[in-house]
Parts: sequence; C-alpha cells; structure tokens
Amino acid sequence: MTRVPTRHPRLSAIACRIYCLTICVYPTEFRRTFGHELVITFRNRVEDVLDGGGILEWLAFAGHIAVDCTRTCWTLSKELRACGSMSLLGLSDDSSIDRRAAGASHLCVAAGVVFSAGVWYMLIVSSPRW
Amino acid sequence: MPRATRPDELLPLTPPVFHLLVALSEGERHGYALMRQVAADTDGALQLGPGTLYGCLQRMLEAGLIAESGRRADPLLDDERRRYYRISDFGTRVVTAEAKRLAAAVTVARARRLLPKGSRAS
Repeated sequence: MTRVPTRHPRLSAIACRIYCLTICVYPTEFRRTFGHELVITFRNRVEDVLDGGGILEWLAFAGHIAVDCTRTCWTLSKELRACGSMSLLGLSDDSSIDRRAAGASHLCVAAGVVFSAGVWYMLIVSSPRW
Repeated sequence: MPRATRPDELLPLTPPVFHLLVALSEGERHGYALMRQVAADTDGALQLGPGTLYGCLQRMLEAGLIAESGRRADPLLDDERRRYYRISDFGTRVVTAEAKRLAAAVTVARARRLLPKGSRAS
C-alpha cells in the first residue's frame, strides 16, 4: 500500500536530518546494519505525527525519541561491554574492549542527547504551524 | 557458544520481543508495520521507538527467532531497500511457549480472584 505524501515535507526532512545525526551515537556495527531502516522508520513515524497530531503529540513524540535513543545507546553499549559483540551470546572476550573508547562514546552520547534536545526545541519553536 | 535450541532457554521473553513475535506470526512485515502492529495490539500501551525496535530485531535475528525475508517493497510504492522480516519455526515455538506460560499465570490470577472470569487482563 502506498503512503500518502506528508503535508509537512520540509519539517519532516529537517527532523530526519537531526535524527541521522542522533543515531551517530549508536555503535558502528548496529548503525551499519540498521541505519537506513532506522531513518525510514523514523521518517514514516514523524510524518504520521506531523499529519495527524497536534503540539502535544509532537512534544510527546520528541520526548519518546530522545528516551529511545538514550536507552538504545545505553543498552547496546552495555551489551558491547559485556560480550564484546552485539550478539546475545558474545563471541569475543571482555579484554578486547577499549575502555577509553567506551568512556569517550558515553561522553558523546550525553553531548548528543543535549544537542538533539536543543535542536528539537528550536525546531518546535520555529515551526510556522505553532 | 551455540545459540539456544530449546524454547524454554529463552523464556521469559521481554514484552517488546513477545509482541514483535506475535505481530510477525500473522505474516512478513517491515519495521514500521511492526511498530504500528505492536501499538495496535497493546492499545497503545507499548510504543516502540526505532532504536528499541531494531535493537530487538537484531537480537531476535541472532537468536534465530526471526529471519530476513527475501521480499522487497515495490519501488513505486515504498523504499525498495526496506527489509521485511518473518518468524522462524523456532520463533513460533518460542512465542507459543511464552504464550502458554503467560496463560498459566493468568489462570492462577483468576483462581486467586485477581481477575474476573472472562475479562481482559487490563
């Protein structure tokens, strides 16, 4: 079934660009495998929210995405630390993990969350709809 | 290490994984269709974000619960690079075992009069 084109293509495109930046905090392997699908799914969701919801739905959606990014990043980093791979059953041992790189990635996550929250806010404030 | 071969080794499932398997038991779906199906099945109580969704799908692929389908979206209607997923035989056995486990828990709750007979567990 084909999707109806959104009534807010510009806003949707901006949101997708911000999301593309946000997912840079995910581990490389995960991003390489699912990056494109993450963006397509996000775009579909953002179009539905923009076309069907009001300011409250939009704010709830922005909050939900921020929480989702933080939680996913945390979970994936934890799995990576625990088993050295993305696998549930980890194939490499813990000693292969570079602790300093993991610490730097956590710092990037925190900076990314603050940055995306700020951009989301500016996007909402500058939106002509509201 | 070998992956789990018996369904009970993977129980209990997390709510997102359980609902994703239930959604896939109806047929092949892509990520966004799964996200919408799970929200509909749970009356909006479980809203999966893209990160949570694909994190779960990755674990499910590695555990052999689902597989990537060969199906591709019609390029005229949707993004042809979009992937579809299908439940595996092992995934069907795991979700059935989990559903039985949950049904047994509901039976006990009913027996303790925590749930009225014939009601939904909401």
